[in-house]
Amino acid sequence: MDRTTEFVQQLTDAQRRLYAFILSLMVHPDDAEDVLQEVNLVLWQKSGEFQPGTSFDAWAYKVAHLQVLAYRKRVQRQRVLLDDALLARIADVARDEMASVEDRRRALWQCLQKLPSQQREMIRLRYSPGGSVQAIADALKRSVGAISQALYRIRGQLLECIERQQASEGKLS
Amino acid sequence: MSSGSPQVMQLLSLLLDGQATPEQEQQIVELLKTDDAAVRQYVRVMMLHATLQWEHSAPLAVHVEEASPLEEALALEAHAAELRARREREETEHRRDDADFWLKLTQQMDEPIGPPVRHIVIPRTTLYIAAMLLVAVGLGIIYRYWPAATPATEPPGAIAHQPSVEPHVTPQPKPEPSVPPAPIYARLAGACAAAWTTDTGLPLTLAQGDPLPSDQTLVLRQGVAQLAIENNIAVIEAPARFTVRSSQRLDLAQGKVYGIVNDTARNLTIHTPTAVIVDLGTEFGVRVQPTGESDVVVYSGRVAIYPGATEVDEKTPPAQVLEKATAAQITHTGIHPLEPAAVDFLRDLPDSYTWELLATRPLAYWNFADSQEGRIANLLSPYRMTGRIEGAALIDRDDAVAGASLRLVDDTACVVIDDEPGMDDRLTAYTVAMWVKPLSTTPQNIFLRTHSELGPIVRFSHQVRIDEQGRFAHYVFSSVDGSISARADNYWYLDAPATDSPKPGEWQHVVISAQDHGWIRLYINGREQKAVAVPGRLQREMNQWRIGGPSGLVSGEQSQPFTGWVDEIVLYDRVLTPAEITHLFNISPAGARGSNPHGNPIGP
Repeated sequence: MDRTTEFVQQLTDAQRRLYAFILSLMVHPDDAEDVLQEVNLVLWQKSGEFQPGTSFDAWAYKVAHLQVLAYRKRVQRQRVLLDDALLARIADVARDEMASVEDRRRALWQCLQKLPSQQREMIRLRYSPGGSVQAIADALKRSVGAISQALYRIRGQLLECIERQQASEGKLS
Repeated sequence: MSSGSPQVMQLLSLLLDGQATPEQEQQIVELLKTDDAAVRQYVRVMMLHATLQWEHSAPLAVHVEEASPLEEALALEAHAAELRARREREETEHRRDDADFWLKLTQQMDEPIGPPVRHIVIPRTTLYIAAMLLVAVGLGIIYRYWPAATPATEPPGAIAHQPSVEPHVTPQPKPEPSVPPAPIYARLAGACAAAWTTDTGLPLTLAQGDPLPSDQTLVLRQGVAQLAIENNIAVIEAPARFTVRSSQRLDLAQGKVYGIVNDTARNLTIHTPTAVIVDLGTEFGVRVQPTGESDVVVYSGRVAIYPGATEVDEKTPPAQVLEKATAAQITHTGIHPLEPAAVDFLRDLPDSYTWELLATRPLAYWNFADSQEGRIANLLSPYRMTGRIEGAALIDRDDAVAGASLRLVDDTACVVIDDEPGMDDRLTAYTVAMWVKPLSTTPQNIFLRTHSELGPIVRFSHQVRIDEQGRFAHYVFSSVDGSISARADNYWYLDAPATDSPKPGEWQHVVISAQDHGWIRLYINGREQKAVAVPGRLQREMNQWRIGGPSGLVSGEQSQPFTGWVDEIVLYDRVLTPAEITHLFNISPAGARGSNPHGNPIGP
């Protein structure tokens, strides 16, 4: 495999992880999607700087962190929740955690299957395009508070389940 | 292990859903600033959120295809121009604050154009780089919005095109969900080696009994699945792409479906790219090829065909009604005749052994489990290579074996299997595998190929026998390219006897293979016994296989027919490798044929 092909493959392989990393820093999915595209472009432009044999992910996270900072400065359209220092702290932890993101993703799918069908459907509605607490509340004719509470419980159950799966496979530190 | 503080979890959940108040947001920030555990919990919640967000995103209207370098470059430039324009707009607004930072970050990528340009510019002359950049960015987009695209399946030059959309990719407009979840019409009744994804490539885990979402396209990438649609059954073979629309309608975009309609009051309708196919109380198979053509085979009852239709009702007259044992192919140009044997369908869910065996692509497979009225079913098709029992042969159960086997009781016992058209010419090579339980080691014919009119005394070959020395042997007639003419028809025999002796009363796995100008080989219990070079072409001008019955001998005399048991006969029109033969031997169900873990009485 030539270097370019290898690079493209690494870049594509890293997409999920990069998105998760960026979303951790951005919170808002739309912002994270914009930054992900910019990060892809920057990584490609800087591909010559990448040293084969070194960690692609570590390099990509570093670039992504800088891109997030740049984006925040550039698009000051809303109040920033996390300041730069806290962002750096979260980025450090996120870099560690991203090593397990694929395992956690697989565990998540098993955990989703264990959910009662109504809860699975709630997750589907929430995360499908256009999904929001308000939209679900309207569709199911329930209050926004009830939907928020339900989503909180479901997320909690999913996290518990993922942790259990990880622990049973010896993948949890 | 705990997933963290419930308080943090609740606050984060509100934050993710845009429901957190400013006070709650501040509370989160304070917790993150002061509590390391909260930071880790935050990151894990965000990973969960990101994964769900990523996996559930709808595919964009991207189209993946092979593109010329020029097309790629043009698309790339449009993409770059959009980014450039956007960035320039943003930079104008924020130049004062971020100029130094952004310049530092991007100056290297701008070097080919030269300072003081700050935006990203792609060199025009480097089409290759341009294409690769597009691939990189495009694949990112594809991976983001179209998880079905994987490096293993993506064509090397594939790119994401959005000819009718602005080059910069943004998420689709978000429609408001306004209806409750769709009703469930179908459930997964069973599956074998099944791998599922959504239409967008999102992996799905479906267990027996799970409801299948209506109006959502499912992809069965591997294996076989059995659906219960109300009281009707559909057996679906991968690769298949289908959508359950209602209790009476299944849309099949690609793949094979075998329908068993138990509820005659509720017809099952299959919609394909070229037709609507309506059962009229029947069993039928539909195959939709990747090009869209639809093949329909009727096994019982009748099927109505509406070519080119998208909707039909009771008043719509069908273009054609297919009767039992007929078939048709529906293309965009109309309905064309088709041989019922042209398409094989799995009519039931195979067990894992059968599935593995079918994965070796046999030409025919007789396991004696689905045989009735003196007929020996070829599991791959009821319309070709079906055996008929003659004399004292019967389907019986041996205590040592799960399921049914063929028992040849005396010298009248035989099973005759006629060829399908064209087989004789195709058999430039063959492999036959079977389980055999002889009752003695006297010379016997177990299996052979012959001519229906000349008979197995005059013409036979491709034979499994127990020879005069009491050994399993593979016995073949071959033409001799040269001057040797040992027989009137210019064929000479080749004999590959086994070194392992048959064990009367025990099941043994016997495999024979041969090829024109190649080798004849014999394997017992996965182990090769003997290979003999074939000097010319294998015997032709035959049209029938026989299990048991008499055969000729080189001496011109008649050998004894086989008495004993036979099972799991598999025929190939190719030579299997030793590894494949060992695999066949090893996949036999545990315990089915003896005491060892592989169910084999003799280890390889």
